[in-house]
Parts: sequence; structure tokens; C-alpha cells
Amino acid sequence: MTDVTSLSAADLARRIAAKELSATEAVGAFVARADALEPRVGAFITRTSEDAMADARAADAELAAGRSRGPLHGVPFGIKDIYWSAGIVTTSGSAIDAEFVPDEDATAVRLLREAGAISMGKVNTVEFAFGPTGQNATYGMPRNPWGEGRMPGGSSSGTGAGVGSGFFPFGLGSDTGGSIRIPSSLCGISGIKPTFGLVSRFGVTPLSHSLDTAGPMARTVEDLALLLNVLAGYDERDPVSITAPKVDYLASLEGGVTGLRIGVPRQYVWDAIDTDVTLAFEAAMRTLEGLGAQVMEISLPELDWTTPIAAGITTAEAAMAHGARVLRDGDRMDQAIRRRFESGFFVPATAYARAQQARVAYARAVAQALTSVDLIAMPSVATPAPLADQDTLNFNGVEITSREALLKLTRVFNLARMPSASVPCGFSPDGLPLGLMLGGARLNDALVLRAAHAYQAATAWHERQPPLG
Amino acid sequence: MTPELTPDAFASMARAAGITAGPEHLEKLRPEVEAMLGRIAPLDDLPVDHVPVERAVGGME
Repeated sequence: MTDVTSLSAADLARRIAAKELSATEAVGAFVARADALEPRVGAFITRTSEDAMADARAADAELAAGRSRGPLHGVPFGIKDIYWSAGIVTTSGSAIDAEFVPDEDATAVRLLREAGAISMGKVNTVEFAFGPTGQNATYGMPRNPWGEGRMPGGSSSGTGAGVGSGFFPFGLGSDTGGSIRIPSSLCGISGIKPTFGLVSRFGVTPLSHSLDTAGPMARTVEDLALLLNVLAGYDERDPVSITAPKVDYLASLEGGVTGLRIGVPRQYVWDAIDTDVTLAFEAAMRTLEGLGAQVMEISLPELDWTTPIAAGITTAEAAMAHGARVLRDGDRMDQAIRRRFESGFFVPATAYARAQQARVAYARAVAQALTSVDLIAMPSVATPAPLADQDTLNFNGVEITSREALLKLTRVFNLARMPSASVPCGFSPDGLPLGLMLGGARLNDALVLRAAHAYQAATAWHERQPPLG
Repeated sequence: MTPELTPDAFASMARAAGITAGPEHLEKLRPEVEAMLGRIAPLDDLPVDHVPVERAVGGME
């Protein structure tokens, strides 16, 4: 008999709609798995299992009466704890907000609920989403489902660990420099950072207003397409929300990659990278070529600007967003993250403006590259999950901080404001997942998903289950 | 190159920014600020004068 907790969101939705499985059975199975394993994983900050079971019973009653709320009717999900949820504590991963209870849902949460999804609770995040490792001094670092003592990645650490551990089939993440794709890669799941502005950020605690992007994380690319169908759309309450033509991401998923040109940057990516990551990426390129894609090297020297631009923008904007609170309540924060915020006070206004000018030039360069290829590919993360307390890594004699190794590749598409997805593409010799990242031009989210789905349909990396029991 | 700030100069800058924490905190913060300033230092040399500041900072593009 199929283990319900190993099913994708799309599979669950199909079975519930066909009445092969009740929402109560589905949600109950995920609650039972989390009951058994959460003490070892630590994905949640606030569990709402009783509410979830009540919502599941209501969903079954509605279906019995011939009413379906939408494409996610009865499917459970996890909410990164920087998304407002009406009546439920929303901590943003910080002791400062330990008693903050919003009176309405974030737009993304509301849309998922309206589509029939059922919240399993609020899941862990790096404090105010400011960091890629998954460390949280107040709520703990979730366990990577693939390796005890390994980083789950962040900042959407609880979503990565929760989906990877089978506590819910999908969840909400957010991505300023890689916070969806890093934990997706390290936890062996799939995630997409959509085009900047495509998914509303209303009710999402900000970090860096010109880069923050909301998006989904799940087991499969099909799920990401299903979720983007629900989440994408203009919202007047998010100042950067964009009006874009309505796209059916599911309907465009099956086009394959035959004839697509996939560019691999020759600069920057390969300066400091784990050999196993490189080997898995090269194998993934051969798979895509076997499916009919044309893989070619491209030149993008502007990628060398990634770190100064990202540092100049994110550090300054984080201080803009939270500076007053950090000055008032800094003693109650993780002191390393407090200092990260305080560093933002020292970014000169002229340097911030310069970083934004450079970001625009950088985005134009990436867009120009995407006139000669359809997609850009690179590994999602330069390393498999580092040890939880590992500050530095060494790749063939090149020393790099773990933080920089986690962020260096994903940031490319944040600065370009373009969509990019991470999908599992292999495992390191010690059993840690590795990710393939595919990025496309602004508003070409459907093409990114189509190629990622073609890769996933030809491989089985995403089907492996972690050794959690 | 990482800019170096003397402890006194840094303490003055920190006070001006509103940071009232004690010397132990400032002693840990100072190298992190120096490292951050080092990371953004290359911005000065990037050929991006052709991008209008008002387009860039306004977030239009």
C-alpha cells in the first residue's frame, strides 16, 4: 500500500478529488509522521494539528456535498514563519516576535487556503530570513533529513526539512539570495524562485525589499507548476507586484526540451566549487542533451560582480527594514544576525545607490545572454550540505565561507530578478542531495518549469526517500 | 582590500548610527563591518555610470 506521506501534492489532490483518499486520511497520515519524527527534525515552530484535522473533516464534508474549493482541496502544507497567518503566532524566527499574532493571512497563504490547502502549521526560518545555513538561536536548526548534523540550508529551513522529511508535501518559502533554492538543494526537494513581483509578498516579513521573492517548495516540478497557478497574480497590497499575462503553468509543463538552448556560464560559477557538485551537474547536462537540448558555454563576466552587489543591497535594505527594532531589541536576537543587521548601518548611501545601478547593469547583461540561449544552467549550490557548525569550506585549495558557498550561485537570479528553479540532480558519495538550477528570462517561469520537469521526468533523484525511518 | 577602522573611530560611527551596545559587542561588530565594507568596495570600480540612478534606486528595472 502506498505511503500517503510520500505522495506529491498533485497526486494527493487527484486522489482526494477522486475520493480514493479522504482529506482526513491524508492530513492524519502527515500529522502522524510529524508526531513520530518532529522531535528529531525540528521543522516546526508552531504546529496546528488539531486545526488541520478539523479543516480536513470540513474538506471531506464539502466534497461529499459535491463542493470542491479548488485544485488543492484537502492537501496539507507548511508555512514559513515569516508569512502572516490569521490568529496564529508568526515569529519570523525571532524571539522579538514570539507573541506577534496577525489578524489576517498573507496573500499567498490566503490564496492557498482558498484553493483548498490545509495548513499544518508554521515552520522554522532563519531569524528574519537573514542567512543561508538554517541556524536559528531561538528555535533551533532543523535537521537535514539526509544527514544528522548537516545544515538544512536556509533561510526557508523548516520548509526544506519539512517537505524533505514528509511532514507536508509542499510549503511556502521566500528567496532574497537563495532561501528557497538553497534548502531545496540541500534537502533533496524542488523549489522555484519565481520572477520578482509575480507572487505577492503582502503579509511576508521583509528583508530586502528590492530582492525579496515569495514562492513554493515541493517534491516535484509538477507540484511547483500547480502551486504557481494558484499563487501568481497581481496584488495591489504588494508595491512591487506586477501585472503579467495569465499563464497555465501546468498546461505548459509537457513541452520537453528538444531544441532548447541551455547556456552554462564559463565565469564565476567554477571558481570555488565541490568536485561532486561539478560531476553531478555535468551528468545533468548530458541528460538534458540526451533529451534533445543543446548545451553550450556562454560568457557572462558580470557574474563576478555578484557578491559586492548583493552585499551592498541586502545589508543596507535589511537595516532599513528592521534597524529600529534591532537597535531597541538587539539583545533578544541571535547576536550573529544582530551584527549582520547592524552592519547595514555602515553602508554609505552612495554605495547602496551604486549597488542598485550595478544590479540593473547586471540584470541587463543576463537578459542579453538570454537572447542567445533559452535558459541558463548551473549547480544550485556549490556544496553538498555542510556540517552544522562548519564555518569554512575548502575546494581544491580555495577557502570560502560556508555562507558564501551556499549563496554564491542562487544570488545570480535574485539580482537579475529572473525565475530559477532547483531540482535534485544526484547525491554526494556520503548520501547528501545535490541540486541543478535552471534560470530563464523574466516572466519565463513556465519555460523554467518545463525544462525542470523534463529533467525530472527522465531521472529519479526526486523520488528517493531520506533515511529517517 | 578591507578598510580598517580604529576602535575609537568605529565607536564614534556606531554611536552616530544609534548603536549603544557596550565595547564587547562593538569589538565583535567592527571586523564584520570591515569585512562588509571590503565586500562592497569593488562597487566603485564597476562600469555602471550609464545606468540612471533614479531608475535603479526607484526599483523600476
